[in-house]
Amino acid sequence: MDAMDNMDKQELISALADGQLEGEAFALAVDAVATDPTARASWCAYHAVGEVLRTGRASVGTPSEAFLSRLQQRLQEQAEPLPMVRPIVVATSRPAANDWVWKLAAGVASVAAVTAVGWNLWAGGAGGAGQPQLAQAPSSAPVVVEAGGAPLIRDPGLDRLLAAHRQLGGATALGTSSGFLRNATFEAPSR
Amino acid sequence: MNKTPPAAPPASSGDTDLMLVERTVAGDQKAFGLLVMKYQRRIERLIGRMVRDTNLIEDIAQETFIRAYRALPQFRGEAQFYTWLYRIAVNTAKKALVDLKRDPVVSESSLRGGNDDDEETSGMENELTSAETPETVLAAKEIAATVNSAMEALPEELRQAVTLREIEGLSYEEIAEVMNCPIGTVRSRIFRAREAISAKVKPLLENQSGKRW
Repeated sequence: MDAMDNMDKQELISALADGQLEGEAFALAVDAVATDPTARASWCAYHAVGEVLRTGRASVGTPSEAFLSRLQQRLQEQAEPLPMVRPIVVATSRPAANDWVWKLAAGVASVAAVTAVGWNLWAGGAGGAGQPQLAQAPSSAPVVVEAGGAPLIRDPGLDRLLAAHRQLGGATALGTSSGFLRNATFEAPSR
Repeated sequence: MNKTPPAAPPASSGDTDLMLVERTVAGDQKAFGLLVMKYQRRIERLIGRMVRDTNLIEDIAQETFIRAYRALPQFRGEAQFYTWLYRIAVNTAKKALVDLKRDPVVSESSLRGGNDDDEETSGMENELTSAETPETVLAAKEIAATVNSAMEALPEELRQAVTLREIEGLSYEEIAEVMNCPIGTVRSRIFRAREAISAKVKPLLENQSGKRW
């Protein structure tokens, strides 16, 4: 932008014609040519001068303003917007607008979790083994069943579950095998 | 037939074209207007070498820019924008010529020369073409003479700067090195030279209403 400070609009357009602008200066120059008839006349004149200097000849044709006006009208009549092909934008790690809220919530949750674990450890150590056990976990001793002659060790919890839901074992209502349960059908020793 | 178009502008000017194309494709249609104004007369002159009927020249040029506008997303910058536009113009003019031949009411005088498609761009840059009128030739010569006399009237440092830029195609950095001055000075000198010449040329360019190839 500092380059802009030293250039007036016409000088900016001269630099634009030479491909010496980029970024904001480029955008400003394009807007100037598009909106200011004087700037537009300079844009055309600079290129006409350049052509004469390079080729020794001038191109004479339809006045630019009239040509451009008709072209814009035709494009509008056809109502065919320019097919856009935009570059694929790779997602960046820009933080969301409410990012700080989530960070705060995560911090509070972490502190609460550490506090709870610490409290339990401290309380467990202080209370010692003297406190009564309120609930007794069911026996988790593995059950050994016969499966095709070979002993199969299974979780007794799975056996209880299958015993309570015998109707799910074996096959589906359509008669097809039912995936996992096909291989985990409850088979009580009494059967 | 698709020969390289003559007198390509300096290289960094092509960078501007590519940036204008990218800007247009990104949705800024104003940028396309700059490309149209930059190349419209050259495209009309090119078409004027192919089509005899001066009334058709602007229509074909318009169609050329409409086709170019639609195809802009396919322009990848491998070639210069004018080279790409030149080919579109040639193809559009060829199609117009074919359509004219199919039209039974069109007069033979609307068509230029024979049927050979290779004729139209084969080094006719300096020939008087059938679409040119004495009036347009005079106007073009007047503009060229005005530019040349304005160049001669420039102070040496301005003339050297604009010559190195427009004729030799040097970048601002290279000109600064040659002229042993800062880049800002180069930019200013080129601008002042252009302004001095344009002041003489603008009235001629604006006074071309009705003068067509």
